[in-house]
Amino acid sequence: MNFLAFLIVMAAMFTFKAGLFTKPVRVSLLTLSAVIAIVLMCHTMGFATAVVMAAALLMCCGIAVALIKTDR
Amino acid sequence: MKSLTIKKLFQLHSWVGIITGILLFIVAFTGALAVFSKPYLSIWAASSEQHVASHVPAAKVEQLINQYAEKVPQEFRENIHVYMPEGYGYTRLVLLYESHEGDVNYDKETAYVYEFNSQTLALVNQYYGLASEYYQNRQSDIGQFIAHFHADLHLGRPIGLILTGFLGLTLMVSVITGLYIHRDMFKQLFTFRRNKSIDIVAGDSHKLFGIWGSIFHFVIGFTGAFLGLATVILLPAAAYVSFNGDQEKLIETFTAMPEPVISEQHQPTRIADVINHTTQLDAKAELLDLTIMAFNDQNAVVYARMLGGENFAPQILEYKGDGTLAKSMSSFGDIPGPAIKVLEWVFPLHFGSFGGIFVKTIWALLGLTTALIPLSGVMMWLAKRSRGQNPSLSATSYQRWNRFVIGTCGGIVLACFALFPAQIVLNQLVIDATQNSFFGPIFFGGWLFWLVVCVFPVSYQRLLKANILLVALCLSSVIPLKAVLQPGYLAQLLNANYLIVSVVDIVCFILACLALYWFKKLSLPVTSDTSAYTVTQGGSL
Repeated sequence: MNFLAFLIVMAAMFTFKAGLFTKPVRVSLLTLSAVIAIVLMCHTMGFATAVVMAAALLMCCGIAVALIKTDR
Repeated sequence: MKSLTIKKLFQLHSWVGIITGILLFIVAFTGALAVFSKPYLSIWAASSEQHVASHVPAAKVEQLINQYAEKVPQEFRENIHVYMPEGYGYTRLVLLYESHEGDVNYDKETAYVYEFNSQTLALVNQYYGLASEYYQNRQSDIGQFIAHFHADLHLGRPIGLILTGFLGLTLMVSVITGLYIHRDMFKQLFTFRRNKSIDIVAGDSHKLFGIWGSIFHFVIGFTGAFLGLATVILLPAAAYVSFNGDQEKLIETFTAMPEPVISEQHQPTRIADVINHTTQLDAKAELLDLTIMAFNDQNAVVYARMLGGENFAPQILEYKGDGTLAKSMSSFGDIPGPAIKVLEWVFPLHFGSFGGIFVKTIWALLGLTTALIPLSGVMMWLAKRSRGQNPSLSATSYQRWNRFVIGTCGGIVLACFALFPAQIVLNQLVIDATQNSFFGPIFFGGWLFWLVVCVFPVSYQRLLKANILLVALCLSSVIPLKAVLQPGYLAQLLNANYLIVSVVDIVCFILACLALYWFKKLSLPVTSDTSAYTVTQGGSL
């Protein structure tokens, strides 16, 4: 579940980095991915843990995606 | 916001960063490693061909407690601590029988301690004497050494704690001012120009790590400041306000384990049932230790300290002697209120100890970005002052400053990784707690050696390459050293019991390969590229 959440957040980040869709859509996708990640993680851990973990995951994915080379 | 205010905040951000930057790197980098110190690095360090920390069946634990309770005087059975081998900081099963009033030989807390190999359950060490001396002189390892250095820089208490606590406060100031002065955040979130000059890469990574990880950096700064300053400033202040300065009374109020009244009625304490119930309650939570009070008495109470699983904060489960759960509470006791909730959250938020190895890895990676931000900030500050028609830093001063940064920051990285092969050699040559006296000279000696090397007028790019190569050599020597010094090591790599040990060894090898890759990739420029560096308003130091 954690890995699935990780993949979803990473995919949302890539739409951001690659400049796909319009800005509001990108922000919505990112927010949605964070919510889905929290829900997925809630299956394996408590709510508070899931929220903190999703936030940390979001930061980590953001840095990872920013560092990965992408052709615009 | 007015440009004047931004300019002032920018100056505050710059000066706070430049004054505390190097120290902040040292604390943050060691913190990123210290995340794994308990239990992973402890288990790695204590492993040998005869022993690796393993799960001990509940029935065996109960049997050993009963067996050794017969060997100690009656007063030592009133308070028994059981430290589990896969818990925090212990790699053996430890039974500690304690008398608060001491005995005929001591008038303070005295203990009989028995340490068992967690695989064979053979008695490997025993101790009788003051309990405080046992805890002080226990065998340490590189993980605990690095964690201790991260906490107080080995400067002792209170100076070291105040210093690291103060660094936490400056980190918070840097995060807040940094967010205010970066106005084009969305653009900078994904801007990383890898093929530009090193100054532009440093600038981009400074903003990228700073903005993405801002919440993490702030939380680490806040919790670090709290942990550093709590015992030396906040605890005496709280005691002064609420307990007329009596700190012991304050601690007693927050102690979750009041002692029961002994009834003198015999009733076997069902320790195995307690251990089994903790597993049933939350299979993912780790049982760290048990505290058994009034052992084998009708009024016996067993406290089980749990970490991880469903709960974010550490939890204490209180059991009756017959193995039934009485209640669960936080590690600060059964005290209601939002302040206790905040206190509970401080520890897991700082140590990343709430979601297993996955969270610890995330915490370590984000911790590395916390370390890289002050470093890139210092690099930007130096680069800015060495450019232009009237640079405030001459080329020689710029070289000297860069050598100093590599000597201190690169030196700490080298010193930390030099401890890994050192631990393997020490495990073969030095027995038990005698090892403790070797970590300091190796760590500080290695750091000092590299600082002295950086004093010589060598190009800082060459020093950086040499630094990376030395780190790669230290890390790549881990597996060959073990293969030579530990008989049957290659078989251990495939043994499920040695999974943590094998993973640490392989991670060392991967990090060594990465360091070698950077060593090869890092070119030595003939002249420094000054044209590529650009300064955006409020965007860099």
